[in-house]
Amino acid sequence: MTITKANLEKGLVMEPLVKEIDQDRINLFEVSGSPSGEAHADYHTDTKVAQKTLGGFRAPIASGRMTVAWGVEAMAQWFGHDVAGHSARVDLRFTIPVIHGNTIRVKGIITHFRESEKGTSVNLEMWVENQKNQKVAVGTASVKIPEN
Amino acid sequence: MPKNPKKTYDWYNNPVVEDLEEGSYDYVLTQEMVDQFSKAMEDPNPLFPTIAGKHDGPPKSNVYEKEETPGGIINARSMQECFNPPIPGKRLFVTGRITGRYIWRGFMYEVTEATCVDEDGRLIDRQSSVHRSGAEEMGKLRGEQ
Repeated sequence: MTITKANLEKGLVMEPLVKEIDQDRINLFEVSGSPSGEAHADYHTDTKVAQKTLGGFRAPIASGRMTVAWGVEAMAQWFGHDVAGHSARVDLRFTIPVIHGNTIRVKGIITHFRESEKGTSVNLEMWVENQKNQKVAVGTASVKIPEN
Repeated sequence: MPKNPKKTYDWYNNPVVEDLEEGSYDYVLTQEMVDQFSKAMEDPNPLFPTIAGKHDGPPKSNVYEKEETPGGIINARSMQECFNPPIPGKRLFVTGRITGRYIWRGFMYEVTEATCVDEDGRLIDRQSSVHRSGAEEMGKLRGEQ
């Protein structure tokens, strides 16, 4: 269900965006952002580097930017591509690493909204949980639904 | 790329807020990059593949030598503001700045920000991150995530 001015409601709980985390896709994310098409070994892509630089942590960790990207995708799912593409804002703090084998759920609840002549500003509490219901990221998100 | 040699970053004495004009850079967002991002995210229609570009990093690393940070650096927080989805094939221009630096609970924090505009002058997005020292602390997380 796409949220519009017509069905907007304070306290509305959004349909979670669910993702299975896979190391190959974590690696591809790192490559996709590189204009040279190359990604160097770091704690996102290499187990040995992760163990060395993250104090013995057992696995590479997904970039926090991936989690933010899932947040933006969730906003597009909830409010539509046009609205999210021109006004979405996602702000997340990372609390627990996301690693290969995790299943994450991006969740949100509308905390308040305000109407004006230029549109309706919608604010959400956003958080991301793993398969153990641990919050791996917490923060806020917002969009502006235009008048027309 | 910057024309001048890289400078040494002095965490304690550099300005807390600093424009990184010299570290500005540009690149073409290719369809291949978008396709890779789409596959990585399992999102058939990604709005902002630019997120994977981590734009707020290069403006600083283009200006300053990589500095040693106690315990290594890790991303503690990231923010994405979306203005106009990027168009594959367009050249993107990225400018960045350091917007804050502080110490909290014994860790060093630094806030960086970057703004992306395409070759037609469309504002694409603004990315911001808070990086902190002490990446090694991650090893204390022994629970099964």
